[in-house]
Amino acid sequence: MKIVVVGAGEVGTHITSHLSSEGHDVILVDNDAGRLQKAENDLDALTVQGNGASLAVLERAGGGSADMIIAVTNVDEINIVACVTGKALGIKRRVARVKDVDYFAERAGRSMQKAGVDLMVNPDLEAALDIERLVSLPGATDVTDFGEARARMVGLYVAENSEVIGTPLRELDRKFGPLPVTIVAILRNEETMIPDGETKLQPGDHVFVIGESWLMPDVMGLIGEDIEPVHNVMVVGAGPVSRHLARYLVRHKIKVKIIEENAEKARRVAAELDHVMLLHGDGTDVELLDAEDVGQMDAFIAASNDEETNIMSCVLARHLGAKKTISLIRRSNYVPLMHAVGIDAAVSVRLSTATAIMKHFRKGEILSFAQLKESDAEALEFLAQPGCRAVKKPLLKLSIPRNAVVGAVIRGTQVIVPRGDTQIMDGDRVVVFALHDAIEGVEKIFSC
Amino acid sequence: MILLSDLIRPELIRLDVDAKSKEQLFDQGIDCLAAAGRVEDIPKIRQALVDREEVMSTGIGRGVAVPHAQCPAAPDLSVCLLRLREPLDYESVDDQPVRLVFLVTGPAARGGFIRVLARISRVLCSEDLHQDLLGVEEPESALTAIRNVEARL
Repeated sequence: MKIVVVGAGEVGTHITSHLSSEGHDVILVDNDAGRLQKAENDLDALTVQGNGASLAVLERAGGGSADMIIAVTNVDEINIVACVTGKALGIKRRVARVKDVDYFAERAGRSMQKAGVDLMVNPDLEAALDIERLVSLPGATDVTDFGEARARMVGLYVAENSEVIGTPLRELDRKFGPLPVTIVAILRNEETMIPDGETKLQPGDHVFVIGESWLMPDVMGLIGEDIEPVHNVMVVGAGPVSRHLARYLVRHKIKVKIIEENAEKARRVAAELDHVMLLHGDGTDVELLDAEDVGQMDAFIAASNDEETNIMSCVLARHLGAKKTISLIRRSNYVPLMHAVGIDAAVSVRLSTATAIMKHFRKGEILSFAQLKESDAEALEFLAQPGCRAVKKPLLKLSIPRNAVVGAVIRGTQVIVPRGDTQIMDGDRVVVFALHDAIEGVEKIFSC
Repeated sequence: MILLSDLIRPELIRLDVDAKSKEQLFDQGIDCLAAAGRVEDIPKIRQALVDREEVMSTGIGRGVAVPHAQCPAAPDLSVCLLRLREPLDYESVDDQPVRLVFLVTGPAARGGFIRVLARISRVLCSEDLHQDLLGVEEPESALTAIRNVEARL
């Protein structure tokens, strides 16, 4: 597929790197020659310098024969105009990164679609949704939904006293009866492995499981720590991510306190959000955190603009007794450190945005997609189409690559935990987990 | 293999339940289990049901809910089936209100417990069973319907 990406910032380069590594022809457009030079050195992509909203520039970038345009500069209006121009050039699929929520209002949204923007992705909203899923499932390091949220992939740590420790996975089935989940990956000593029947779980393993969404809290209690409901949450920073998040949490009857450094901003946001307590102060001020009962919090989320401050706040909050800590980060370099310093989960606006965009761009038959923050692995949701190689054969006979595993088969409203003799039927949605080197092989099996 | 039809006894089936909220529904279920001598500390069971529901709704879709509580106050794995006279809003995965409720309680040791939950979900994938359970007039007929589906799995 030929794809024009407008904007060589964090999101643009992340998407470009991903797409070109999968063999797509990507042309990266940006005004800034220095950024393009850097991208050219790091990525396998063509670059074109110029205003990505301009017809002439997009033509120069080969827009006339492109299948898709993804406009992700920092400026909403450039992204929107780039899509409109892309439509004029005959590009079929058009995605814009749009920050201003006013563009999402019902009438505005419709007019955007008419003008040529197929899909608007709001970075702050995507990050807030990711955080909300993590908050609502204490103990989870990652939460991704598949098949209209009927199936879910959750990352969690194996608890010291878990009953599943030391028993080969094959025996677990015998001990507990077939578990209604697939353990698709284990991160241990910074290695990601796909377990087999002989694998034994160890305390502290970071495992990823896929199964029916509603059973996840119970499955997590079996593998990890027991799960308690969430009532109180503290958030640092009153930026857009925090505001979206606060609205979601309040809707779920969770009490929210936001700490904001800027007095004027704190006042403004206090007026904007109902049922949320705004405090003026510093999120790394131990006395303030303590006075505001951070130790009683079921979750503590640091979502200020400054990533080092966020990490520091989380470390303090954990030290003072907050049950779960989540940090908003910009770069993924810090992710491997998070667990070591007591931070339970990290959310990156860039990755949340790129993931949301990628969900919609994938080849027709891929419905959903999630990339792990911690390792070079992905979970993909395929639609099994009639005539596709994977259909009507036992899974054992599909020669699925060694570094890949089928996590769940969603058939109508039923979520099937696959075994070797499970057969995929026409119309099933299949969730596959794969390490990077196995993705191509997996796509071959599940594409038509 | 634990069979659902072995766990649910006719005295654990109530086909004419009235409940206007999740809490009222839980009370009906606990009452049913208590009458059969399956639960010891009612407030504890009730709290465990509420806590689990707060983590995530157990409305599994198509009008079915599976509220459950794991706690020492329920010494044996028990399942009761309640059919609501009026559909109840349950924040289900598909937003459909609930009429069929399988309420599960059991001790803290967990493997078998999760297996029963998964089995209920599996058995309820049968569209016929939904219709049968909504239509039956006697607990025994509900049990027979479940047994028939399980025999085919």
